[in-house]
Amino acid sequence: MSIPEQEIRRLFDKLATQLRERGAGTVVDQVIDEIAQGKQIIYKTLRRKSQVRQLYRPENDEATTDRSGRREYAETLQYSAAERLDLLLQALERAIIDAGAIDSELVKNYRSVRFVPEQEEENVRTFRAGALTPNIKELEDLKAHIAGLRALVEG
Amino acid sequence: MPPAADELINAISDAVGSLVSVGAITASADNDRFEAYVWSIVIRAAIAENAVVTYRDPDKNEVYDLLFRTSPGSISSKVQPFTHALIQFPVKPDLEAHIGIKIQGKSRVPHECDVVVLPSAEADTCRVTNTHPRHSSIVIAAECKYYYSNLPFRLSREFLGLCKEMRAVDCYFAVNTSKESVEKVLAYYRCHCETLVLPSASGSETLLHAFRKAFRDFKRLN
Repeated sequence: MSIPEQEIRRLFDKLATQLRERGAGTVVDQVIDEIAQGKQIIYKTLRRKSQVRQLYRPENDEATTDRSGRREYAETLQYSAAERLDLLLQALERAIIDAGAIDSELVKNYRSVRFVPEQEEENVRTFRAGALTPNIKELEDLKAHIAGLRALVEG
Repeated sequence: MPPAADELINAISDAVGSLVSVGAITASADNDRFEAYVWSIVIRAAIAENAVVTYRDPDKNEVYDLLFRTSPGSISSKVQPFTHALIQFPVKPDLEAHIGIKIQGKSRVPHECDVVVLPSAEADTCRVTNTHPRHSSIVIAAECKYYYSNLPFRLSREFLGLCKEMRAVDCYFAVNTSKESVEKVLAYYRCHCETLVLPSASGSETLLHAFRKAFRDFKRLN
């Protein structure tokens, strides 16, 4: 049995709030931007009504009108509540699991990779490849919890 | 009985919290690692096209421990011994692969480029004269974006701007995720765009082949 939409919205809000509290606000912010941007653009072909007077637009792009006077309009579809929650889970997978895979790949291919700022005052951003690699157990736990939540939401 | 949704959310948050405490989810660091990963694909492509690759510091000494910038800088900078790859094809001009250097665009304004392949001769000139390489000398300029969400649409506009300032044929948009509208705009303008560039995903292989073609073309023309 799938979870009602209102309950999924509550789960999204709860997860987003807890992620912010635990220092993963960037993930939440990016997902909220993505939700605002919309899911997908679809195109609708509409017939022009002959009685509707058109504004004169000499710069009109003829490609949007065919010979029968039909016009193509773009519409942005919005994400459903379940899709929004899944966006957040996907973002977590990219932030932790995929980023960990890239880190491991660098460690596998090179003896040592270090990232440092050019200017000394930026020294907070000094780090080594391999920092994310040893946390295998936490990564596996996270994968299992995300899969469990997906299964619940999808019913 | 399977755990309830609230329990799973608590468990996810706790796991994320412990990973954040060891350095996960730092957008700038994830971007830096991703640039290094795309740079490593450039190296793989060069080797696959029979190049000999060695790693060098700005004084051309061979190094084995790699040091990369966390923010873009000048190719001539010697503040830190940043690493570049020296790419040598038989009887062809030497090339270098850098991370995070500035390139002078068509408007003569320097632009930050995430991964750049350019002739060693151009790089030498710039190191001596303390200038930025010119866009006309570039063999590969890759714009790398590591995003947690799907791609924001504005990135396609930014990349089109870069293509306008460089030679579009040399520019590659390499990203870990995707978005139909971004891909559609870049396809409309015939830009090189590789999505899902990740160790176990198809995008890395597609990007590798695109870079191999760039190296083959370089060898044909030089």
